[in-house]
Amino acid sequence: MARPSKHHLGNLNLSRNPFGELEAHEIAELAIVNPQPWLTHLQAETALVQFIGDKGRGKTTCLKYLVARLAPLDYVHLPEIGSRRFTIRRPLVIDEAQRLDWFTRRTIFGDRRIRAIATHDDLSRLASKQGRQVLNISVPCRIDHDFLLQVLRKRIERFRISDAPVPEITPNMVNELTAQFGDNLRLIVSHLYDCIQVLDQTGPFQVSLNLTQRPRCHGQQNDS
Amino acid sequence: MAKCDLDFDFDRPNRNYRSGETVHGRLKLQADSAINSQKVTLIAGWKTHGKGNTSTGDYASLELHQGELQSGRIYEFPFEFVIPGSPWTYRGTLINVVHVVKARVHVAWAFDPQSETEFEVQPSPVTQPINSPPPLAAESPAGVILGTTISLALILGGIPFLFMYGCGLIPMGIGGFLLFMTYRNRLAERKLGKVDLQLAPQSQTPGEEIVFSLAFTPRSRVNIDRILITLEGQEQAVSGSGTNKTTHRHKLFEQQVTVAEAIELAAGSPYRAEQRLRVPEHQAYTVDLGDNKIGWAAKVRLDIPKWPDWERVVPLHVIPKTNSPQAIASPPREMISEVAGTKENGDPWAGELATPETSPYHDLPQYSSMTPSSSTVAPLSNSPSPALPSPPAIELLSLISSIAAAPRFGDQRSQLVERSKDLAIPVAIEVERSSYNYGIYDDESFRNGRTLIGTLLGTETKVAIQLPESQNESASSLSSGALWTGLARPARWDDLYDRLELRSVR
Repeated sequence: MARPSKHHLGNLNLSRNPFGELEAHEIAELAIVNPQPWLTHLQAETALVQFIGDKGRGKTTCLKYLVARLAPLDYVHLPEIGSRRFTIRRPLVIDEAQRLDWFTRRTIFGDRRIRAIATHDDLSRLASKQGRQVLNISVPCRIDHDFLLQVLRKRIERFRISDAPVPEITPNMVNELTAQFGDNLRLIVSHLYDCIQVLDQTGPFQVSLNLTQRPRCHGQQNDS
Repeated sequence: MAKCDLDFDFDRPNRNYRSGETVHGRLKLQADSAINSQKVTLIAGWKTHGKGNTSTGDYASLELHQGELQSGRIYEFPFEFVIPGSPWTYRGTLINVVHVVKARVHVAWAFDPQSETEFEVQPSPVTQPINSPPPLAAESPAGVILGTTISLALILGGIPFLFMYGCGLIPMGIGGFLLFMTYRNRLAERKLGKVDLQLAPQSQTPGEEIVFSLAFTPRSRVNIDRILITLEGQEQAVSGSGTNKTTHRHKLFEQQVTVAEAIELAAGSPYRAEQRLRVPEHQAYTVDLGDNKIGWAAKVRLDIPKWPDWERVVPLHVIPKTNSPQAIASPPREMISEVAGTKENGDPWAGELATPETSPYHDLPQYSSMTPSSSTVAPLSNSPSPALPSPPAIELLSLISSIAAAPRFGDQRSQLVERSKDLAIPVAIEVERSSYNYGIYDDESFRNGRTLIGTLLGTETKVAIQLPESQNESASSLSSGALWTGLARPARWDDLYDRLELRSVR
């Protein structure tokens, strides 16, 4: 039930499973983004940044990066079910902005304290009508093989305990993961969590998923 | 940007604490250049990590310093805080709970240097906060009303769509199924009569038993294929939110027990069944930390052929063991007498039970409660060392469990053995075999002695007892299955065979 180590995954030289859910500051720390255009754009008082894309592509990561970088900035997430009321006390960003109701989305962007939104639907026209200069960012900006490799390796490095070996992500593994999960980073990370959880040695490991069985993720040395 | 080294010193180098204890420590701080800091703060709290969304809870917030920090100077800020009753450190598959202290140097208009470190918190052996589980109600009236309303809405809502190529059949089918599930137990009770299910207790510690009692008087003649009880523990972690919300589950334990099979009952003849289930030994106590939960439940099911089954899921609270005097239960006295042969010598237990406060061994971890079926060791009157003072009742089994549960790597196991090395513990083992001592022993008299390997009487727990050379003759006369009793001190934990090695007290 419990790993025999002071750290959760000490035998893998990791302080914890790098592919688990992250805290807000860790999300910002691990985000691989190019924020310069956003930050430059946000210098204007009427500026608004809209991150638009499908689920699991990194919109929330971009927002949380902004929150960490431009503190104090509030993060507001609109839930799927339940009350979506919130109070604007200081500058903020809104996640899942497509859930704003018909009336609110036609009035709220008049408040310049809203600095960025993440949405599945394009709300830029409505925001422009309310006097905002909108910078549209399609997320993922780029999710190619190298980007994915960089994201996954950065996570492992973040929770590395010492210079000793850790589980490795190789280019071949990224190919296998994208073949199985496409560019859905959330699914890839969730699958890697399960792999790391049962891994018993460092180095490259098996990530292929047999859909009829639970993944077997024992370490191997020949995958490069 | 100024660089700042932050380092933590705890009063216990192994950083192992128990809930309710006070942590003392020092924060060491050294800046490579002067920092115009507003303040230096320290926050203690717990947080989760794993597959679910992270949850956090801070329980101490201290302001350690105000004002400028000089370049090169080493600052030491003492801190202390009290650990709350729960949660405890837990390392699982989907869920991990860790306790941390976070230090932060607040700097105006610049990046705040900060650092955090973990420490271990185990349950207190004295008292535990017990949140009473919900009472064992029959069916929630609100649930029945909600289920009925939704079912009827789906059925009635589907009727107008029946004429559109039968599309209405889908919501009607769902509604019908929901209605059946809502009233299934009531339908079953039309045959069984009112089913009375009792659990005692609903809060239990690992290794202890829960008694299920089931009683009903059938209204009509009824056949029951099986009565099943399933005890289940699982981790549940929720990740994401809204449309991205995913609930992950990991089964920690599942035990299914058939209470009765192929029963035929006449109308009006009362039926009563009782079943005891033991909560397994583990450290996954019931906990609810928002999106991260560890839950235990018992599912009771009566399979009725050609009729709706009766089923109820009862949540259980699994709580840590305590070291209270009540929890250190006496073993069955018949067993002690048989082992020790003291039937005619009076009660060897009179006045021997030490309370945690009075016992010199109260510092030992997790002296768990015992069950009648467990092996127990007691002061034995025919001990090979009758001159030695009788120690208080010590549960060797619990000590072994504690050591086995400690991480294999690290020094926790050896520390547990070290802390109990001075205890002369009465031991009764069923000998499996004996072998010659090997290795270099600090005591010469053991170098040419023998080691008895066997199991603690009445258990499957293996131990090894080193005997001195002077007892070689008696040791060689012990064949497999023979009983050896005596006083012994824990010597070391054998990781290879996962057993405790004790050294006989001469």
